Amino acid sequence: MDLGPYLLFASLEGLVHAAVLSLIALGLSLVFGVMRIVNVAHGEFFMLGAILAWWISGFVFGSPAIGFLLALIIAPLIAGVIAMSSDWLILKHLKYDPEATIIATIGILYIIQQAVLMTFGPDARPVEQPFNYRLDLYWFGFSAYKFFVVFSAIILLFSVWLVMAKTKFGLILRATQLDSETAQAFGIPISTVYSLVFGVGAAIAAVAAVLIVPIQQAHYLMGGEPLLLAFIVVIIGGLGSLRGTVAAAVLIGMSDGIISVFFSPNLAKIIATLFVVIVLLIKPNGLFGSEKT
Amino acid sequence: MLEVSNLSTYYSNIKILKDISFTVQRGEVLCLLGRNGAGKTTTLKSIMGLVDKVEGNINFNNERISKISAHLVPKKGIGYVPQGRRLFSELTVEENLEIGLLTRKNGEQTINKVLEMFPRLNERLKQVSGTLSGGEQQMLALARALCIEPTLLLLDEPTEGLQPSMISLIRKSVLELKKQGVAILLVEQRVEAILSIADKIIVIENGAIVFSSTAQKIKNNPKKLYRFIGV
Repeated sequence: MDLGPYLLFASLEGLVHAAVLSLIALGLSLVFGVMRIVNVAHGEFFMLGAILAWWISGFVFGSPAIGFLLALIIAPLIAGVIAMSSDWLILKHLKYDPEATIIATIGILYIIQQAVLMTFGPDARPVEQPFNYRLDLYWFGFSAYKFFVVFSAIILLFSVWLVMAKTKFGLILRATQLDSETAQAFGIPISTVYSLVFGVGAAIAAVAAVLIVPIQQAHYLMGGEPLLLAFIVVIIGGLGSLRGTVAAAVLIGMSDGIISVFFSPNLAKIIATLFVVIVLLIKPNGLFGSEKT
Repeated sequence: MLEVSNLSTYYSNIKILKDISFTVQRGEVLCLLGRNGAGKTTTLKSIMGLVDKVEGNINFNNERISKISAHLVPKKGIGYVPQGRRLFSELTVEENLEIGLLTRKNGEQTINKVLEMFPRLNERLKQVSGTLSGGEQQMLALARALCIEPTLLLLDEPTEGLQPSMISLIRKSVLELKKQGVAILLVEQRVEAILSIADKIIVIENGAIVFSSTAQKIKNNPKKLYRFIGV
């Protein structure tokens, strides 16, 4: 294959990577933005989504699309409920102290990881693609399902933006993000808001996992790498900035995809990490972060 | 209307307020005076439920509010203008007012009434509140609190850093609210700003009430008050 088509192929792979990464990072950024806590367990909610997708699709016979659709609804719901329960049982009692919640979410990380290991075992689990169709792009064929992943991510990102910018719930979230104490003085129940945000953040990560699991397998240790990349994206984009998160996810996802195809995935991670250092030196609040964050 | 009795407030284990008691009636303006760090803001925050631990009683319309969650306090009809305005600075004027309306069902009617009181805000509804001038920001902070349709209004240094014309406007608004029967608890550092509008005056020092009197008595003999606030 010539360089041009090869670059196009790498860019398309990068785009799929960027789409999934932007969803994972969006959940992380939402939680940090509103609650001001760093959720180290975020990658485990992603892993939980993937494992649950495999588990749910195993119950459904016939078309794999039905199992996939069920997983797309049920897995994020379960991940969201588990996250909300963790918030009520643990984080709320720590009064969302930034340092204490880091330790607590490390604890949640291990609890989820080991619970999945004990329940489903250590094997990697494949999930069938809901549809198998290859688009002929003249130089090479490309999975239509991967385009579906990109399209779904765009729809979800747009929906989150719409909720945040145009609804009363979004207004409540933005007010809580800006000043939680004053928000309470105007009738906003911030502990309920925090709980919902923690649940929604985990559910978005689980959606990303359900989307990607037909391309890569589900495994109890799969949460680590997306967490690292999501942190990189959120730091580069600016903590709590939706716009920044999407821009940085496209940047990191695309470069990761292209470098992985042309060179090696490890080199892609090294470059992404170096990029974080450079951004932090030049713009400590990230590319789109405000002074306060 | 508002009865605060033996109120003590703690941050961690440090006692900030020490057995404070006072009442505010309908249409009355009670002014809290005191130096920086005396406990004036903490008193207002205690009423709003925004502190970690309180002892004693805070009753509003014969209902105990000192044990309820902070987000339920405004639903009882208590509006709050915090020190330094604390606007949601990245939200527009309109969005800030919408936040004020969260506890009210008849939003449109309320917002029209509030904007009639502050017509300048009407011209700036789509402007991001952080870009308003200091005086406009204070107007918005007051308007946002009025969206609650409060029967008790807590004002924390509303004239701080404002030019005289704006101070006069805020003063007029307070007097208008007083006339409408709203009870007002006003924190101020400037004696001259409050003597013409206050009914009662309390001086707080190191978290305790050290002096209380009616505004009328102070007007007749201001030296008594000046001794406590070091003017």
